[in-house]
Amino acid sequence: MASRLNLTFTASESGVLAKHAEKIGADGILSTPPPYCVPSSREIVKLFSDLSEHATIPFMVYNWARGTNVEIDHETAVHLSKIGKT
Amino acid sequence: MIKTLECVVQDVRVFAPFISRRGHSVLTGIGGDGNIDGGPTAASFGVEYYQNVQRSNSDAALLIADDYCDLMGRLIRPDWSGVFGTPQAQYKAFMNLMDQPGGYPRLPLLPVDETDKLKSLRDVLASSGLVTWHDH
Repeated sequence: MASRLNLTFTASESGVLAKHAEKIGADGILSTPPPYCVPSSREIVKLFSDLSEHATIPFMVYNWARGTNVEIDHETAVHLSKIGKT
Repeated sequence: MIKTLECVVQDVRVFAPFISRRGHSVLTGIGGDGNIDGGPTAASFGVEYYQNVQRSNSDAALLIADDYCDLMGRLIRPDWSGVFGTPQAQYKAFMNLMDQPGGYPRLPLLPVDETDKLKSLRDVLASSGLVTWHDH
């Protein structure tokens, strides 16, 4: 390939951006599930659980199915709401 | 959405399309915290709406919700696509018309720059008081 396409599909990659956002004074972080790869419910919860550990500022999960082709369903949303609560 | 809201609202903040008569009922009956929406068009409605909700001024909040729904119904289709262009391009056009620093969308999106569409957009914004009729 003549060039590389950089996509942040993993928690560790997005975590770098989250840490940077916190460092420069952001009030919070917002993220959708990654588009195209269409993660499962288990994968979405794991992704956001891991990602939430990269920064201490508030974290928002954005359910934007029209833009990502990933619908965060009821069960997944309930699991996500419990992240960091135990 | 209501079932999910009931299950999560005690643990997390919830932002959802609450600015409507149905949304007001859900917001005041179950709970919730705010909206995610395009600031250029929604902020003037949203701030006033949520302030009235917090003060239990339901009549005032519902009037704002009606105005907001009327505006958004002429800008965004039920499938969340834009009436005058791609939502991002359309928002930048709103901002430019409102003398905000909208700029232009990044490729492959194209700016909403057709004269007839911009006139129609201006008319929609003017009818909601977001720009004056005689600007430009």
